Amino acid sequence: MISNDMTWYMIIISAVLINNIILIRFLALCSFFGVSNKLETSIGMGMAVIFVIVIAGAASWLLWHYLLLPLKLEYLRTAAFILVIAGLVQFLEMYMRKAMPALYHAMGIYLPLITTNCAVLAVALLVVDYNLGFINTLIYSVSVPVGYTLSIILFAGIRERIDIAPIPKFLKGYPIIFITASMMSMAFLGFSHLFGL
Amino acid sequence: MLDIIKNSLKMGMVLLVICAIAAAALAQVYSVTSVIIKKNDEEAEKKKRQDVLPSAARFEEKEIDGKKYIMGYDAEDKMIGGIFKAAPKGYSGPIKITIGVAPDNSVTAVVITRLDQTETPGLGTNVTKPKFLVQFKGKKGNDLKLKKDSGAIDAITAATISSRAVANGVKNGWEQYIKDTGEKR
Amino acid sequence: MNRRQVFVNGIIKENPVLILLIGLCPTLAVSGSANDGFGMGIAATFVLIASNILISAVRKWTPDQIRIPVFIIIISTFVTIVDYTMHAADPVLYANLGVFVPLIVVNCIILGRAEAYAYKNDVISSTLDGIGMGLGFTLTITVLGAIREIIGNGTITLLNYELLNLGEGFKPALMFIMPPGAFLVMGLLIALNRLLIRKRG
Repeated sequence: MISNDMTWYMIIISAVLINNIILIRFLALCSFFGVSNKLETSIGMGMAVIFVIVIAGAASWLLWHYLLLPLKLEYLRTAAFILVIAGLVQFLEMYMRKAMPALYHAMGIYLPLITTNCAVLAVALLVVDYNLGFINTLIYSVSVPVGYTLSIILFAGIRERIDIAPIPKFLKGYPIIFITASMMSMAFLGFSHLFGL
Repeated sequence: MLDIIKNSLKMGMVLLVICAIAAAALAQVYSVTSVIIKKNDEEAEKKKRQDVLPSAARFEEKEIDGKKYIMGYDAEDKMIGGIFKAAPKGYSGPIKITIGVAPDNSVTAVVITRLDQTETPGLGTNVTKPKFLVQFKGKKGNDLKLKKDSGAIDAITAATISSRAVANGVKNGWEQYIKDTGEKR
Repeated sequence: MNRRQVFVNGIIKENPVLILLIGLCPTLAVSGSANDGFGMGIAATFVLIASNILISAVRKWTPDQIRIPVFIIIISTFVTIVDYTMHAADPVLYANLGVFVPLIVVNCIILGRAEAYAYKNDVISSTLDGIGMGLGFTLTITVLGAIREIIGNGTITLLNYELLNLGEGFKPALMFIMPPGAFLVMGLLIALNRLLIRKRG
């Protein structure tokens, strides 16, 4: 729960650690398990996600407060937000292909996947639900994907080690990875109520 | 060249048609369900008011110093109590509480429904149970706090934070209510 | 494959959650109780079947370049319908599911099936595929919810009825209805499903 009367550092701590988007809020899981098998792709995905969520969060906030609310079109919220996100990712893809071709080829198929990354839409919906001001929206929109990047990099590091560890046959692959995520989640639960948040 | 224009027009038309149908369908669903949702909310509110002041026949909203209160009147239009709301910060978020106060300043009842809170299931959610809430009946002042805080309310085992939030919310709101309605007596 | 195989496919061999590993977010987040899991499963299944049908029906008129926006518009429309209907019909379930109701629109299962199946096949097959996948999803999330609920809360609730209550004497392991429990039970379920498939051959 983020509210407008939280200071900027409280929002950051809450979004990055206490309510970590992956390990506590259960969002962005498909990309978390799909991309974290290598450290380089995890870092790349994290950077792209930070970029997309900041813009998507800000754009959705503006769309909601200056278009949907005044015209009483609240029920078009889900459709409008997801279309904006899809469009954003499309433009990002086209721009990167022209302006940063090396990075674009490194990112490969991960860019269009960001559209279905539930964290992006979730942030857009939550800044409306929490009734945040514009500055707080920006702070929140940056902090959430930073938490995502932190978790995915930590996880990638662990996964690379699991790959070469002796694991019982029926636990090999995804089962042991989920159990590892369970322990990471337990660790992050230790942050709950930090600073009374 | 003409091909591209024709193509773009075709795509544009398809998108436009689908958007129009979607928007129309949504507007229709919204107009029907928003009525039901509003009605549900109003009925839930009415039930809460009736639960804290059972013998009230009519309720009247009052605003004192910017705070909202609800006065209850019985069938003979005599004032039989007041209602105030509190929303203290619980363990996982705000807990919305409805409290009724009798003319002698003792609490008549405290109501918290499942939708009023988001506490830990099996622990904090027990603040919605009558076993916990009935303790507030008939008490006033410092008795409204937890026994651990020199009051008279038993906290829920292993859910001290949620219990304390409710007890303090009730006591602080009660003090404010007495102060705001005292002069008008 | 024939029609029957399309249907069974979604439940076991290509179970969206346990095999294809898509649709994870709502599965883990909402499975704190069998009731919530079942509600989410039904809601997502409705959207899946409805959008599969509609997308398959209009596939001949949908140019390839704009198929993704068309999918998104259709799916988000049904999600919004489910959103407001659930809010009106069962406010408690709606409050429990929270932000995950509108998030059904980015549920990889629905978009994935639209792209991989409904856009390329006829309406009847698409309907069966939707039902099969939806059933697989609903079954998995409800079972996951039941396991987490019984160990973490000592109860099993379904359709707002309390089916089982282990009573006051049972001290639940709270971790199971919290995030770590979700990941843990999920990992074990995937392992179990794998064992079952291997045994069946």
